[in-house]
Amino acid sequence: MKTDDLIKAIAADTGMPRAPIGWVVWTGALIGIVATAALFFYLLPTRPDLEAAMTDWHFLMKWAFSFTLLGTAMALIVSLARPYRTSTSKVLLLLAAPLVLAIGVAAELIALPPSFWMPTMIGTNAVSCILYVPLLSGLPLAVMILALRKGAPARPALAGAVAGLVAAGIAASFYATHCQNDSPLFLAAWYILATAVVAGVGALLGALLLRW
Amino acid sequence: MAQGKNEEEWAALMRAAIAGDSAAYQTLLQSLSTVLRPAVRRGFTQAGASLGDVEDVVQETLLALHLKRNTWDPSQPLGPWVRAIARHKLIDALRRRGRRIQVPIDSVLDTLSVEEDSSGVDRQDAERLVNGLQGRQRDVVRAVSLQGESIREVAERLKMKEVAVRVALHRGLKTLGAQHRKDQDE
Repeated sequence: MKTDDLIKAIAADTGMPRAPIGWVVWTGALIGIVATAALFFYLLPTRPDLEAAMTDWHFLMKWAFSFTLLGTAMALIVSLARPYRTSTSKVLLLLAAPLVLAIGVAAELIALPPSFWMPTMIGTNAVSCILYVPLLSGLPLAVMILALRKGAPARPALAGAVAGLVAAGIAASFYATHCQNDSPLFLAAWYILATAVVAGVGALLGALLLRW
Repeated sequence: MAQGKNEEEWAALMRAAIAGDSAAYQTLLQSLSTVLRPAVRRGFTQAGASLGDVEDVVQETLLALHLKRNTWDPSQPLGPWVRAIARHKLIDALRRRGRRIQVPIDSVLDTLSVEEDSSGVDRQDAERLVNGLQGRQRDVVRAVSLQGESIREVAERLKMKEVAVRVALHRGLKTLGAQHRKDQDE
């Protein structure tokens, strides 16, 4: 086919306007949140002392971490869904959540005597955390990957990884209301591990499914 | 500045195209193809690749910017977005040919709107794209492109509903857009 002929075919295909990618990605995230909420409340009870916990900085630190993760990942993902290369400085935005957590870890290390550090980090139910956070991330990750397929990511694996961070941010925000381990030390070990797993799966899916 | 004027024209044409103006779209794509062709050719030359597939990359870029036009923000200029897509397709094509990319492709594509295409030499058929279509998609894409028929004419001749013709055309273009990835995986 000659290019001029191809152009005729393309120009004739104006019938179906497509939703702007920013809108698609945000809608995907909202669907992901609703789906995760449904699955979470079906699978797990919230902790009985949730109301009391909400006044404790330890618990709020969990949300500070997961909301920051979700917020920064969302701020990034619309850029990553476009064909431009996203500047490295913008990607560094992702360090915000670990930084927030690091402040909590520092405070906790000061507050606790060293003999408590290790048991606090191990916590009471780490296995549940590293199982449920990835499990709850499944639906939002799938939705975000589908949304990104409507885009044109310059770096498919990175876009997939950040989709994983969005999903992990959503999952961790819900899981935090079930999990009774509130110490930043526990977060730094297990939430980070679970988040890394989800981001890794996202990167893999991105490399496979987001090429265009 | 010529480039600034181009930018405004392009963005205006693209906005019209997105609103459904086929004629504006055709003008835009023609204009873009004439600046893409030499830019892609320069990219191939700098990477030391043969120029035989330049037109393939031009066509892949045009298809991609059609299929991914929802990633352009209408408040932004069009040129950088087209360049980003062309760059992606150029690198993709060079990788497929087993080239290690060392050339700073950006510098090649930065000058997208400077040089107009003067040679008709490599406006050859890019055969690879079209053969991947089958059935209705093939009939419709061929009719609209090669025979230059309108959607309505195709609908009457093939006894299809207009909306079915539109769907077949759109799917056909999507298939074409995915074609090179299939080549790559095989």
